Amino acid sequence: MSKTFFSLFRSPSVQKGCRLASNAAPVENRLVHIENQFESVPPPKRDKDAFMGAIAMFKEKRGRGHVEFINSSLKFIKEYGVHKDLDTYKALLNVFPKGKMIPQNTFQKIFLHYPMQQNCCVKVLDEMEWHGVQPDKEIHDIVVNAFGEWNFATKKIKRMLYWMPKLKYSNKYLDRRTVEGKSLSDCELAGVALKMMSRDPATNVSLVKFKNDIMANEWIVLAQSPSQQRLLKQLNAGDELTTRSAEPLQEFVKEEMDEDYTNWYEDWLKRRESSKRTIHEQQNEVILALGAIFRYDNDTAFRWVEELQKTNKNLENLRIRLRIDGKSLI
Amino acid sequence: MLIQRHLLPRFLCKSSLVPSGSNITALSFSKEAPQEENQKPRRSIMTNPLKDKLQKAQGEANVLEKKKRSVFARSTVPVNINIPNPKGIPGYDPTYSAKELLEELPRTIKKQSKLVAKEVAQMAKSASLEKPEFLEDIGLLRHNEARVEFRFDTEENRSLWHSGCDSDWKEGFSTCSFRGTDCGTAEFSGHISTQVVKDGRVERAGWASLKLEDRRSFNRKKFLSRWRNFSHLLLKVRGDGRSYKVMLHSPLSMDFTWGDSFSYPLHTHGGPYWQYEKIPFSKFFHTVAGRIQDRQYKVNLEDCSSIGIVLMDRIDGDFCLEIDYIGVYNDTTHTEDFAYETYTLPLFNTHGF
Repeated sequence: MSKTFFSLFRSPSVQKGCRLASNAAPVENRLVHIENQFESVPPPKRDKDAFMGAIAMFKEKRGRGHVEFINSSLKFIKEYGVHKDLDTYKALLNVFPKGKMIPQNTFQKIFLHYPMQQNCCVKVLDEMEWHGVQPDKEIHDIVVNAFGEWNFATKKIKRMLYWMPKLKYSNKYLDRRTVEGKSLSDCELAGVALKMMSRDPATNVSLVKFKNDIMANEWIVLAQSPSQQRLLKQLNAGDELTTRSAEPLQEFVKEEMDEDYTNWYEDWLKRRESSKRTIHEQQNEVILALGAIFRYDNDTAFRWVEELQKTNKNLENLRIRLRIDGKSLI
Repeated sequence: MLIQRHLLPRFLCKSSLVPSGSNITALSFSKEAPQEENQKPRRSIMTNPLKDKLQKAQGEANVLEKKKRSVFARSTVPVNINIPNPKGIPGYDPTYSAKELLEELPRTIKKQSKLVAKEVAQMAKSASLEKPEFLEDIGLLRHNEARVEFRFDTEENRSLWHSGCDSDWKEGFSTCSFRGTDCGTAEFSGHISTQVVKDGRVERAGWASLKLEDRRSFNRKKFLSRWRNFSHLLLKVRGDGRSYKVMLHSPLSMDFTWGDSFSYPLHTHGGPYWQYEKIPFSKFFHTVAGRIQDRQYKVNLEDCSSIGIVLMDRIDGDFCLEIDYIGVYNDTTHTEDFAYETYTLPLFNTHGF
């Protein structure tokens, strides 16, 4: 990984946003280290266009040094912010010449034909997998055209094409399409997170934005379901909250195979009672509301409680303890 | 009433989505049991001792030897014909001097005799004409039946589980810890850092793992074979929104089985609610050293001797997974045998022939 590639190539005459160090030789004939191509672009200009420009320039000029070029461009892929972009990986793999590296006889097929190139291709694909970029048929075809149908590098992309879509939507709690490739604001993300966290499907998620001259971006997201409101209403005024804890939840009740039906009525009543338990009454706590705040301190959390009080009148009668930045605030 | 901070689902903390140092905080608002009132704030910011140490180190770098490539040497690619030893670590050779062994002897004798006594007592207790295992085999397990195998309420129970992360192997900067909480559960928490150690050897970093190390007396393997008639793995966990992975390890005596494990992701939703995660055994896919294999087959629970929970989701930041128990669950309506296609591979494949 940390190997430096000292391959040199002739710098092209036109370079977008690049400033070259002065040298005795004429600009178009000087030898430049491959990484200069990426390093010389100033950080604010490092984007997809600049990256694609560098690849296009390399392809235009050179018929060799592909592996060195790809290795050094992989180092800069994150700095240019293109590590989650499928087009970039396609462009990178398109750098490999077509047809030349396809094995022609059995020995070439058995042994790693063009090993450096194939390992480099696997590295690009691995990088793609690491960043969670989903491959498509086109990228498979690009690899096939460069290395042949059943070569080692092609097997890698075939495996990716088989497994990655299989496990892509295995997360049932978050639909990745709601966040992937989108620039969501903080409060939108908070809403997505709260929807993911609150297991009651009836939960209302609401956003409160504060109009303030000094701080423009002040918001609070509330999430509470009707059954949580009902639970809150049931609490008595000035409730000694520490004394009323929820019964331990018995999810899988140990059943004894006894044939004693003398207490069937009590058993039936008990079972009816236990099935009434809401999802919010967890093992050691009862969850009454969820929320997200823009800043992490007690003052902001207190504003969240104030917002909750508008819909839950009973909250005024209860003792609330905030414990966010270490100091407790009654 | 207590307001407590919960870690946000981790997709929010990707650098592309939220600028670092963003102050979004998720709150839950709950009424708690009395014993929890005086507990310390559970999630604290972890420092990174190894990183500081590395930065301060002068002269020779505090890193391992660079890997060598040679035609005749063992390749470093983890495939099942290539596992160096049961630990899976190249060059792993724990050597002890006679003095060390003698020093260790009394403790070993004490531990082993305890295990033997426990096993004898178990045998005496279970001596009966009824054969529960046989009854399970012929299909007397009921629908919705669950069996909790591992709890985390006592120190003894927790000591069966070992946690580790890349900084333990000098291969990264992540940290992790595994400890009990006040409500009889265990918390696997720490910090994931994908920063790679610049030693030219490590290519990826940022993992933490928790693994069961439960053995019978005299270091004999304990198999999870009693699980074979159940259809699902059941975990009661409370996570932080990250996606973990459950691994069923099934190494046997032959070297090409040393790396065998069967994996499936464990997704968490985060927040204060417990989740009962039921993963069908039919969905576990075959991996060697974490790599999905071409030839797939169903997990054979008779060979499984360990179970692990790993995290390597490529996202920097704190993580926390609270575990109440791990067990199995039977769903008689689940008739799927194996969820993936089992192709017939050509003679010359990656497994050899």
